[in-house]
Amino acid sequence: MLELKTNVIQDPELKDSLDLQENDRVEIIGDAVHYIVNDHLNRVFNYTVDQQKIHAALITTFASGKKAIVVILDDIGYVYYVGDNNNDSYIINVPFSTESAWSSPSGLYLQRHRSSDENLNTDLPHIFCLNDPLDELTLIKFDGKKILSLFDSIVYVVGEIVVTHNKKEKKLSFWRSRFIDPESDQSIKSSRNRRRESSFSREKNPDLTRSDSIHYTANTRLSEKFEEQGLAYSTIFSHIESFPITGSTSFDSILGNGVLVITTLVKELEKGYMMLFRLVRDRSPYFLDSLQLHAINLSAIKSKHLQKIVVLSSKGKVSLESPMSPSLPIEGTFRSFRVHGATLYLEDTDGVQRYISLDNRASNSLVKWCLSVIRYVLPLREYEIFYTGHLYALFAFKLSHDEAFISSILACFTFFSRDKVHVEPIEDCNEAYSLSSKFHFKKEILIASQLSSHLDYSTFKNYLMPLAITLHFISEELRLDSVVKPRKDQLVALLLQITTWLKWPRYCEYYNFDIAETFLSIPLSIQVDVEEPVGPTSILQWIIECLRSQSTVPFYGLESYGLPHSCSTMFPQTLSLMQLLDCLLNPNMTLQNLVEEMVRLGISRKRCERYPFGILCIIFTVLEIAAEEYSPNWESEELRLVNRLDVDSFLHPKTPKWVFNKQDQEVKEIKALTSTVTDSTLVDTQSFHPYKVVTDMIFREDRRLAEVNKLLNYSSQITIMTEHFDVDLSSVPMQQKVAQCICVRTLSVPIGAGMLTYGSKNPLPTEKVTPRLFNFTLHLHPGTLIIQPNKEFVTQELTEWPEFNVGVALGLSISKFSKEINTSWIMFNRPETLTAYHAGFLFGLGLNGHLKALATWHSFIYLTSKHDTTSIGLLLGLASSYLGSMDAKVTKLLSVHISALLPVGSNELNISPLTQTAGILGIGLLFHDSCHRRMSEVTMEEILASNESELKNEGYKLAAGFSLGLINLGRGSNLPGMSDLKLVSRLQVGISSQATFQSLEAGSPGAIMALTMIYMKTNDLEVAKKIDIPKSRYLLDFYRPDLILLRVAGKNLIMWDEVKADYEWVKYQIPDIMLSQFDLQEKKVLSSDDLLLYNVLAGICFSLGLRFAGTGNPKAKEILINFLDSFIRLCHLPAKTHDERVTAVTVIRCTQIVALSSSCVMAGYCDLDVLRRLRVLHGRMEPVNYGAQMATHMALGILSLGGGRYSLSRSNLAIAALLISFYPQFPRTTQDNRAHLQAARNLWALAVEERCIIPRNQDTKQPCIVPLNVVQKSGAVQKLEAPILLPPYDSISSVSTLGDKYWNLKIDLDNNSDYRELLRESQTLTLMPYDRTSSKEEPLNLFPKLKDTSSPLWNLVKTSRLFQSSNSPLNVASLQESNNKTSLGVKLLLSMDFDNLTRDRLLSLQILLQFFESCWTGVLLNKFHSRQYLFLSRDLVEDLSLRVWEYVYSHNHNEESV
Amino acid sequence: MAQIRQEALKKQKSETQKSTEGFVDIGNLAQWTCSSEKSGFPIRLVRDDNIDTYWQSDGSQPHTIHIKFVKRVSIKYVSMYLQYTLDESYTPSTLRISAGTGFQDLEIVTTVQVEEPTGWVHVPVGDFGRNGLLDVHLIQIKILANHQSGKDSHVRLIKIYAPEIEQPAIAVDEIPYTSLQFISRNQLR
Repeated sequence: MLELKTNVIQDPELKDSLDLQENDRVEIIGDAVHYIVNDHLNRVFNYTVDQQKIHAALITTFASGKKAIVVILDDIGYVYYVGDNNNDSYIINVPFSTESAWSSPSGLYLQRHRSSDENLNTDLPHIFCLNDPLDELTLIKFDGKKILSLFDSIVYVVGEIVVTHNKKEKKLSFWRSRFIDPESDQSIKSSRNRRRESSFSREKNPDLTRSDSIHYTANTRLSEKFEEQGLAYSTIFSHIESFPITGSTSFDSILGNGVLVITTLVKELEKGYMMLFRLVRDRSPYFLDSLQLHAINLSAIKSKHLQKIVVLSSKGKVSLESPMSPSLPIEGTFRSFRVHGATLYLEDTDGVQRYISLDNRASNSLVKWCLSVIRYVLPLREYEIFYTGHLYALFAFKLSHDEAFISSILACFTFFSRDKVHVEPIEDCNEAYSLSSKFHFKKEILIASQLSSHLDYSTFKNYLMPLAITLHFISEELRLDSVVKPRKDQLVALLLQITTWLKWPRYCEYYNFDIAETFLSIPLSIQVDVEEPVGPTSILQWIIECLRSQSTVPFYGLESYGLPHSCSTMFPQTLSLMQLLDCLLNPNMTLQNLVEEMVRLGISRKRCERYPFGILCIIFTVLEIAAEEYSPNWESEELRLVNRLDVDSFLHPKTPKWVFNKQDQEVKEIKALTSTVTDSTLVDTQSFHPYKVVTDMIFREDRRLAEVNKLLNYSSQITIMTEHFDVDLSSVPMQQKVAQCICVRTLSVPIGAGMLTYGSKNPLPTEKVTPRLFNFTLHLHPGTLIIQPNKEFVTQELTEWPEFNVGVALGLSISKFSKEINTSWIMFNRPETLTAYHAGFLFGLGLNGHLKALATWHSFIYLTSKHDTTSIGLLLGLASSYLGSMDAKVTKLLSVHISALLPVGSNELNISPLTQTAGILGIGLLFHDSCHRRMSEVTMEEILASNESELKNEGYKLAAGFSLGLINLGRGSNLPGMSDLKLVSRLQVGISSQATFQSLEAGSPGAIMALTMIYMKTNDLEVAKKIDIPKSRYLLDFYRPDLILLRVAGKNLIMWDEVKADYEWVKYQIPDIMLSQFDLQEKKVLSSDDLLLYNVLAGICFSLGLRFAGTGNPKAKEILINFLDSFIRLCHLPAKTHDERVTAVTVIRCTQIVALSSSCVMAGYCDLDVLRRLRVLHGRMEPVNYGAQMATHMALGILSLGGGRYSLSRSNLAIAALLISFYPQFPRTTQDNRAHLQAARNLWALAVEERCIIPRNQDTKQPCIVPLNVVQKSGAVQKLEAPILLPPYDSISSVSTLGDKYWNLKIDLDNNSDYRELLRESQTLTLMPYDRTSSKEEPLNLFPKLKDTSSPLWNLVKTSRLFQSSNSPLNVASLQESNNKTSLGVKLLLSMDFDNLTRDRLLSLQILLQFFESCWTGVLLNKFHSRQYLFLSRDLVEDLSLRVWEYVYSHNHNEESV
Repeated sequence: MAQIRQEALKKQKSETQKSTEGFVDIGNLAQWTCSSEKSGFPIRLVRDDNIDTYWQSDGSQPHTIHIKFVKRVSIKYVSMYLQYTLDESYTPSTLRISAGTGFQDLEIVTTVQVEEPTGWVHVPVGDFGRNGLLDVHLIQIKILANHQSGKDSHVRLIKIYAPEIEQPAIAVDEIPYTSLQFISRNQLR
């Protein structure tokens, strides 16, 4: 008698971790219910608060199909849904004390507790159903004569079957329960309604319900009582069978083969009973049989393969029983056992803990797979026998999983052999040696014969053929994975053994090819005659056939052997390969479809590499072609498959941009590293930042950026060449004068410096950013004289606004995309006392949108300290962070700082005019593009207010004008609900020549700006005419000359489309009366007569600059540079008289405007022509004031915006922001905010557009240089070298990379609207390195190359055996050097392995050669167009075919000679 | 008494007219503002042609008066009536006159020192311009100091003189009319 052996549990601690109980369960532990999933505590429900006893806890599924945990307390119940997306919980009312609760197929059964003194005659129902937590309890109906009595209580529920036990009659009854929906079941409903009625008119028709064929339990009176309480029926019980049994406990059940086995144990009699029921779909189960066993304990054990009942007999023997299959006794005697999942824990009579696991938790996936396939092929009964054999082999003979599986297979065959298997013991050493190197199944056959003598395999007679064929197909499937070759060989050996026994010659021959030399067959005669099925199907052969005929020839799959068709799903590799081949040979499917199919089948690139070489080469050839012709609709998976990671990372950006930057940061220059030890003042702190790699790459040919850096440096000592000065610098007052001039110049730098460093930092949360401080030290060059401006000169008032600007620059240097900016970081950077630096810093952060993160109460702290610049910075910062959002909170903050927004009659605000100016500008930003009526009205009133006071000066009104413009930006006449405001006509009064009479002139600039911005780009001729300058000199005299500039620029911004970058257009703009004096070259003296002309010209230039901002338009640049040169010349004319001096002021102003305009056009391009002229302007010292220098430095900054990574946008907001920040009235001194608030000069940040395209290497993620082809919408083709600024995105039609170093990437923006957004967002092209040259010219074999090298190390390596095999480490190492790993690797393997060609390898080569041959004709020709040599070069293929031919020839020759 | 005053006024006028013959006061074309004024002595009193009334500042030095013209004008003199005998320490002693097209380009024209002035002080600003005339939109008179280091200032009258131009027959091109209808009627036929 065979007995299963058990394992001793060595470590009692570990015993629970041996096997998982896979279904979830609940346990009541004290006051809590534990919900356990997969043996892990998932949730704990605690009921200490309820102070009630937990009567029952169970998991059930309600009628709605939702799984729930139900916990029943004294008078309350809790229902918790545990579904994936439904975690609701309900409380249900339980109107009685619960005895027990059971889960039913649609909810649960509740069994009421019956007190012992309950009147037995009342016969109230005691079992209720709950079908939904929101429903009320329902009752049970009974179908048939048998009904539940009060003594019946539920003892077990499984599926539809309910087991009840009657204490009084000592009877066990089985019921079938059916759920009926009370809502849908009309008969019930109507009867219920009738009952309702009858409660009022019972006398009339008392027998009505009795006419129903359905009986119910209670007597009429009581049941009516229940019905009046609203109880309905929802479940029908029908009686199946009853047995007279008493004291039965521990019910359990197993289900198999449509038979339900319910077991129970009667402790007193030491007897177990098995009740067998046949389950029939939609009908009542019927009773089959009952068995009686001797047992002191019973339990069901359910594994994936077997369902058994564990029986512990009084003698201590444990066996696994089931009515259909053989019983499995377990070796030893035991005291007790328990079941956990599929593991049986035993305690033997010596008290030793043992276990046995039924579930095949085999580490071996092949065995697992084979078992599941066999499970599919064999009927359940046979499978159980088979698996029992497997278990015996595992546990009785202590075999490994492999051996056990083989034995159990062989056992099916040896059963039919009459003669005893005779295996002679190994005698001499030679034989032992020869055996050890060969496959043989001596041990397995021995065990198989023992198994077959114990188990009855007689029914297997008809299943021998399917079993063998199944194994055959498994081996075929294994052929498709080159990694599992040893496993395949083992299986083939097994097959050869079987087919030899079955006497299938064709199959024997087939397998012999694979392993004939290494296999030792053991003869055995089998008495059963199994006819040989149709010849062995070879998947590789089939592929060759298909390729030859260029169509899918039928494949003899499992179904052709009489097995179900659905079997093919058990062979995923074969199936997917067949689908791929079908795809390849289908003329309607493109290669791209094939790739999609591969993704659908889940074939990864890694998986492809495991295919046999032939298939691998074909697939890689396809992938290679598809990589060049990828479809734009592909998702990441497809693109990854064809290795177009570059396209993938463009189309599906995953890493945020700042991640790249972190990597860049690691690259530090030696200079940067040494700077920490050298004098810090000598280091140009600006010259290194995270983007230095990129910016250096953009301007790699010269040092223009370094020059800009030097010009825009305000924190290091400045050296001046004394020989450049006419004046004598030896006197102290003269030196002081120069020092002061330079000091003012230095103070004007920060805004420009901010532009250069824009968005270059990504601070860490713990990183403190500190502003760079001004350095006014001056070094006079020949000599060592160092001078400083007087202490009295450098006052706090002088530096306040420059410091503010430094702060803004610092704030703006923090990238928009920084994730770490939050309240605590801002607080971390806050100085002890508020400074202008910090004020500006807040504004800078706000401009980049980071102040949204600032907590409200922190803003109050800032504002209540009444630090003027801080208030300005914070208000403007908040407004720009919440740009256009109309945020109520920020509106309130702004409103309390603007007297105009306070209710009439409120107290005077004790707030400085500048803060109010900032506030009203903030309103404009906050309500940007909102057409807010109230704000429009207020701002307009402020512009046109006639009482000029300290508060409502020109700057304030201008801010109001900007604000009005921003609110209605570019809306033109289309202003909803504002027609009664008469914006245009009222603003026109403010700019008319009569304005001065009505004291409105201070509002004129504001009114002009407001009109310009409202009508910006609308091409509204009417309004443009109103703004335009008058054409006669008489009328022109009525206007302030500087307003002429604004009017000209304003008109052109409205007539946006009319602005042309040509001289004709410029000339046309000049009024006729000035045409005679038009030529600036002829001006020899400065005269105030020319003021108007200068302003008109500057206005034209300003509008050109804004119109072509950031475009790099060469024509516009030429015009602007032309004017700039003229103006620079005019600047040098002597200005002695008053008239000349007044004119000089205008000339300088106009020069700045023209310089700024030309920078605008070339924004970010760092154009050398403009840069040269700006350097000249920077070099001036007298008589240039603060504002003019500021403009020069802003122009420098714009020109090199963000180090060439950014340019300017031309959206309405951008143009408005530029208009505000370049407003042509620059401050005369550092304190001057009269005409325009200095802080607003920093609004340029709103116009910045990131447009620099940065190619990155996919492997290293480092930026690289790549030629680009940019096709514009106009059809113009630009050849650029990335990284570089692209033209505005809207004008690009397509971008494609050129060059040999990387895969070419073409991005067609016109056809895919998403691409433009993607490009705008990422600006990164990730490129795949690609070596086009390598695949074609690389040598066939690496050996000759290596052999030539004469290093001793090489010699050593060459002679070692490792080197001879194809997978030697050396080869792997040499492969990794190459970019095109797979291709080279395959080539090497193909060319090196000719010495031991196996049949599979030969077939695989044949597939390859057949493929190349087929590519000359038919479908494949159409698909490949002689591109089949992309992956493998033609030379290689031809060489291969030659070799194969030689090999086959010699092989045949040998055979013949033999 | 009134008669005496009348006579004095007449005398004054004649005195004024003597030096300003051929010039006309164009101060009425301008908008007058000042840095500060004592209540009851507003800036408009410098334009009332009455030497008994005056503008008095009320604040810290320097006091400024801005004269803003509605259009560009060419001026010859800036004349102020100061009376040391009456005003004593209120009489300005150092005056700086600046001019330009607007606040943004005010340039210093001249700085004048006056010693105990009685009567008109004519500042020939035109000499600093072109062709003896100064083209301005805005004039700023800044009182830097008073006699005896006085704090506030009195200014009794200010006049801005421009050359009196015999308006010739209006040149065609000077007429601001642009429409055909107007041009056709701008000359007597």
